[in-house]
Amino acid sequence: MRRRQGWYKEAIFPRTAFVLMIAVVDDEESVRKAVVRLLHAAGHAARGFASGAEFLQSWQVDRPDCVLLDLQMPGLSGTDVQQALRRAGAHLPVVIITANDRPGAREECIREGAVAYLYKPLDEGILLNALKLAIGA
Amino acid sequence: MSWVTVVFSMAASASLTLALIHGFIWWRQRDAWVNLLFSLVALGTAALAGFNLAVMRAESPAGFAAVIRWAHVPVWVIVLALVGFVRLYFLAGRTWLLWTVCGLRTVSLLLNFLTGQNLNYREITGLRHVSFLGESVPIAVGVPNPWMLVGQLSLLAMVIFVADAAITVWRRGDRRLAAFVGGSILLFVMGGAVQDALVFWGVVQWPLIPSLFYVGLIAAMAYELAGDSLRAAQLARDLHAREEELMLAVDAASLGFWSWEFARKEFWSTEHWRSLFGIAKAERLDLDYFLQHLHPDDRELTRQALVEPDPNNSRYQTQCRVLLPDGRMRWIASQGRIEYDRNGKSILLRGVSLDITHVKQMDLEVEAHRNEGARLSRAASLGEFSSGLAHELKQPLTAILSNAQAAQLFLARDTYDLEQIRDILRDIVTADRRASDIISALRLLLKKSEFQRAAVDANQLINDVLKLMRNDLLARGVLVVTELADQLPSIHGDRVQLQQVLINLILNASDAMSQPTEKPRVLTARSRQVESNIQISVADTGCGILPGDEEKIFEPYHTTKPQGLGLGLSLSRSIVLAHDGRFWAENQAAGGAVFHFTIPKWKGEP
Repeated sequence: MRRRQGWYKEAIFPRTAFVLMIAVVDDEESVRKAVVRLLHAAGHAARGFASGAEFLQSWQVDRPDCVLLDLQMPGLSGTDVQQALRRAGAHLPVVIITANDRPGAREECIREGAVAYLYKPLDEGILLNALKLAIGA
Repeated sequence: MSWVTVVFSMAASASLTLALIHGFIWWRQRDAWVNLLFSLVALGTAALAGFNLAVMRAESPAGFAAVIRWAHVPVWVIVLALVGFVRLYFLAGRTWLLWTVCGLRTVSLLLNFLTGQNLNYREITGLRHVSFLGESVPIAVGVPNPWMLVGQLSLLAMVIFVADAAITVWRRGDRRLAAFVGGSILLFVMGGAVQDALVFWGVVQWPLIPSLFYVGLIAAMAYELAGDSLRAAQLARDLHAREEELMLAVDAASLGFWSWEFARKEFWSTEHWRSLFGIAKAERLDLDYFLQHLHPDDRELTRQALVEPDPNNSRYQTQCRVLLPDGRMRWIASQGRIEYDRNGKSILLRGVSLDITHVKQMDLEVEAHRNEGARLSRAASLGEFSSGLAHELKQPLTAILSNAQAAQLFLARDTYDLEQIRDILRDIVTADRRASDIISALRLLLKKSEFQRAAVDANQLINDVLKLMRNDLLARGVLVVTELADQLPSIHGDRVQLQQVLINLILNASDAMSQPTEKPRVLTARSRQVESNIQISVADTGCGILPGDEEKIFEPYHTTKPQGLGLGLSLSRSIVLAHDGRFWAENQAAGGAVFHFTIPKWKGEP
């Protein structure tokens, strides 16, 4: 269990066997806030990022254990972020969360190295399973 | 056989006949004053002929003098009636001259009875006999009456009056009337006067026969009046023929004729017009009764136009609904023109009415079709950016679900922070409201609705539509730029249909930029005020409109998209036109196309 300084809020009552640091990247504020809350309730530490650029600026300093990445964002899209991480040799597990069901998007993201491709609205159980998978991978 | 008797008897009877004929004409048509005056002239001439004959049978100077004295009475009648006739027939001649003539002649008549034996002779001393028409007739010898001058002056004045009137008529352009009637009056009057003078001064050995000259005169006048009657008869025939033709045309066009007299507040109308309004032929037609046949909403406007016409507008144009007795409703279009009197006051309104029910019905059908087409097009284009909308809905749903599940997890613990739970519930409510808004906007777009006008803010319209399509545009990588003018006045329009137009334009713009390219994909939405219209423009940086296609793109079923219906632009233009606006497109110099449309601003605004 790694303790981190910085802006990651500590989970107060750890529920799971491990506490993960999770970055939530989504331009939609209500979604960001809600998913971060859910992760806290599940016992993890989480922080929200409003854009791909914001996340890319900070991930090297406070490296998360996993990234929840929205696809459709202004500026850098989810795919752009994936590519940037890959180019930087990040080896960060990425779980895509998206409201979009454009054909071919899923394959593209998996190709780029995403561990899971989840559709919004996110179900808690599916999300936590995906996180387990991401860490295990 | 006494030729004198024959000639003068014929003269008298001819004149009497003409007098009776024209007197009868006046009797039948009381405003035919010209005929009455002519009749008096002829009557006078008949009497004068009688007196002429009597003079030639006179046996004593006293008898001769007496006849001449009484002969002045018909002369007076002739002179006054003649100048009156000229005045009325020619509609010319100076009034003061007319009164002068009448005055002088009346004074002559009085002098005739008051001075000497008669106007011409103070005293007739003897009779000379001359041969006339194979007989021996007397002529007077005696002392002339100086007051005869007055009589001569009256004749002179009459000649001047008639000449002046004739000149006026000649100048007016009616040369025939001036020459013929004016000329013959002058000729015969002067001829009579000349003969009179010649006999009086003893130059010729002839009796006084003025009546024969006057017979010539009334013959000419009668000829003219007869000509008038013939012309009138011909005109009546022509008029009848024209009327028949008119009625034929009116029947073919199913027009109803009507006229309305402002002063008397009375209608006149053809049978067909009455049937248009469902009024039975025999019923009396006054204003209130007529208005009752109209639809209640149309009554006031019609009543106003008929009772208080607009002084600046001589044209009358309305469409009104008529409720027929059997319950049906009819649309009637009426058009008319106001006739004014010399002072500019409206006296008569004459017009036609036409049944336009079927036209109106078609108008309503067209509008219904257009609304339906707009709705279908909305549904179709909604399908085009439905993925964007679905995306829009999924965001608040995600927020709700994750918040709710977080709350469940929190509550599962032994101790929990109530404030945090409250926070979560607040966020859930907000997200739900957001979802409801999106769904309401969707429902509004898809709802079958009639054309409804309200005050719409152009900038708000643009922003609403952009918000709705935000995700779609994002997915296509389109950058949106807005250049919206401040403080634009509201436009008067159907919000949903105008949104429809904007959605269509934005979709088209995105499609135009859908090819992969180096150029940045920029969609610009602009609003500004141009005179009394609001102009909205949507510009793209795409491939532009093919030269020559600028008008074709507006045609229905024109499309360059594989799945396109091709109705978007033609429907959008139809919507803009229904708002009394303009819609056009052009290529931009820097590349790409721009579509403009204008909507008039709402005049209800202060």
